[in-house]
Amino acid sequence: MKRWFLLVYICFQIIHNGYGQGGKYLGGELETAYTQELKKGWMLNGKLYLKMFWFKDENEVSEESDEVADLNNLRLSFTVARQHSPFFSYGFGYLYGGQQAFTGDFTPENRLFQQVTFSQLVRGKARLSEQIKLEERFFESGNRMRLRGKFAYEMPLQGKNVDLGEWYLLGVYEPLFDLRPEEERNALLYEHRFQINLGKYTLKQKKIEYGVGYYLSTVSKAGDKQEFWLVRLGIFLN
Amino acid sequence: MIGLMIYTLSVQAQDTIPQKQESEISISQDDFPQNAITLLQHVSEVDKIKFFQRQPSDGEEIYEAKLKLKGHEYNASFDSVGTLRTVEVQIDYKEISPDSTAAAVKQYFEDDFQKMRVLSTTKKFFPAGPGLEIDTVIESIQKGEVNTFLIVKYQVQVSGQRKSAPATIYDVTFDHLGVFEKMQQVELHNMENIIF
Repeated sequence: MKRWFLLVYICFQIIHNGYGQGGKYLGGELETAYTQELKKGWMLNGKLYLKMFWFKDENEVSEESDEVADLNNLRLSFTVARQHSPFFSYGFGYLYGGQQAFTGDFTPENRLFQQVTFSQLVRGKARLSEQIKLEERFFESGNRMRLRGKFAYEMPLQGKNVDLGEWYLLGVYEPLFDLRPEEERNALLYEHRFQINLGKYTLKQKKIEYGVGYYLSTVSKAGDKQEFWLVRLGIFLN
Repeated sequence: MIGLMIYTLSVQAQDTIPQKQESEISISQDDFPQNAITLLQHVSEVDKIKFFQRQPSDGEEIYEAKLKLKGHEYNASFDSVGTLRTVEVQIDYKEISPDSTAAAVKQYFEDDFQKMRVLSTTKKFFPAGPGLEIDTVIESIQKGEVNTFLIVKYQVQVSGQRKSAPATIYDVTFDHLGVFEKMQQVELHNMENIIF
């Protein structure tokens, strides 16, 4: 466990220090989801996601600039997925949402996505998961395709398993790839997202997570970066 | 008609695999039964030891010490007064012995599962009588001795699919001859927070 978090920390430091820094933003993220189990391992999930930023540091890119990553987000998604085995699932879904930059423009988005998720137990205790998600994003200004990976490491903090009423630690790293042609995108690997969460598997079969997130986003072809720090609250109901 | 009813009931009984329901928490040495601590102090060359308490839904509390010595990990379980109940050691699936036992275990999985993957194999040692001390048991395990004062069982954890049921995880227990004893379905906590 210590080795995994050390590896993530080293990656974080390399990525964090390796880029010149542009703006720095602080905000919050609220995520709530409900999953309904269907027959034969199928699941239906509805999720509401809200991300807001309320503070910028003095080095920020100008508010009038186009070089500002999308900031405030509100998204609603529906996903159908099948748990093929305890260690493999696949699914697809639809998302409607919008994002708002500091310039005040609100950009609606329709999104389709397909995903596969693998997981394995590490020493019969922790769970290491990898997810690959392909997203087709439809905007008024044009369409985009994005590939995102998600590497998650979840480990119990009280005993061998995460039992009801117990705490766990969840570390997540997401690399985001812009699959548009080179002339249209800022970079292929344009965003890194890190999260560290303290979660509780509550007595009512739900998970509550409190965490901190760090996103590093490329906002220009010159490689300008913006940093986003977030406090997170996630509530996952069954 | 009666035959059909009996057949239906027997099929239902076969398909109903009990769920393994127990919680385990980490505890301090002070919360561990004192008699068990005394027994554990007789074990020499222990590199690391951790203490846990398990609460099966259908039984009494179990106190478990996880010991690491000479590169091997042992789980020693005690009841609430500190009497030794089992000593377990993780082995490779291929280490099930003798060959006749390994063949019987393999045959069981071939007959009962459409497809399966072994996740872990545990060799369990139960004291055949009272008063057995843990250092004696561990010494016997380390020497690979076959002793009349120990009853050996194997627990194989598999991810697999039986008949038309969705794939899940099972703990399957066999006796020293490889004869099936019991099966429990292991429920992993949900991972919707990662999937969605």
